[in-house]
Amino acid sequence: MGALPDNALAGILRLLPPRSLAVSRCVCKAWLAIIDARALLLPHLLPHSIRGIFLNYVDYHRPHHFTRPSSTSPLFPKVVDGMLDFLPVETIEGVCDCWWVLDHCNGLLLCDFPRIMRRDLCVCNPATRRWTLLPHQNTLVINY
Amino acid sequence: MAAPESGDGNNGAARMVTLISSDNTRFEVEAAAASLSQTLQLTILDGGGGGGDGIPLPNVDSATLSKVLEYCIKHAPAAANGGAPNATAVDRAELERFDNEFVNIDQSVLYSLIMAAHNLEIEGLQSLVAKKVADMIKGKSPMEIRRTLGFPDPTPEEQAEMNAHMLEYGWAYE
Repeated sequence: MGALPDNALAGILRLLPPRSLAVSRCVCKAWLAIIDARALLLPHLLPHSIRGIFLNYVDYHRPHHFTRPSSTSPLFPKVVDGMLDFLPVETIEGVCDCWWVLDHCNGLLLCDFPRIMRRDLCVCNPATRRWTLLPHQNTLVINY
Repeated sequence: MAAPESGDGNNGAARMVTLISSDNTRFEVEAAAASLSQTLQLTILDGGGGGGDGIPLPNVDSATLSKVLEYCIKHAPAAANGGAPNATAVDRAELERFDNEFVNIDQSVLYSLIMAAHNLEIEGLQSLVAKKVADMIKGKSPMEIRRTLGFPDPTPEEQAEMNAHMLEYGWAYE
């Protein structure tokens, strides 16, 4: 079954629900390439249920992530990384060690990391642990 | 797709075409059934495959072709009715029962059918076999999928890559 033509394989993968499709991405390189090249998973990248919420606080330096305990396998103890530990240290621990969530959309977070004379804006997906920094803006940040 | 009317006194006798498998077995089948294959349809419309000629299918062996034609013969009447709008619930249930039974087969046969359905472009059969494989994949872990489909065990590097990719969509493994 390993040597199916791409179109035939894509026809099979197309029938899978998002969860199975995400699992199938890990089966082998060829499957991953087809799922990504044809964007089979992107339209439903995210799980359609609430895993937790972020709360911004005035008194804390960062938002807190509230989630119910989940019965994940030991391989995936933390499904959603509320501390955004996947971000590189220099991004998350700057001169001013605080950040908050500015906005969100479809499970993506827009996070603000204030720095001296500038701010780092980062879009990240805590479920998939993918992230990117937005280009710097010339906005002064006023800390309170 | 109805068989084109041919001049040979068509009082009820359906036009037949001959298909020749890769191992040189000849199959005589109604043109309407063979025309479920998009690949063959034009040739048949052009009058090919009749008489002593036969259409060679170098990619399909006789065991597979016989199975494919079993499907085509069963589905041709419904296809001729344009998706069978007049079909009774009984007819549809019978086709569904046939389909379920049809894909209840060894994996090697299933693989040959996928390839044949793909080469011959038989839409209904493509969907049927794809659904069967998808059902075999659903709810399994990457390793289970590999074993189910008879992939060789992953090398340590492949295993490491699989684990890395699994982390990307951790929610899928809850």
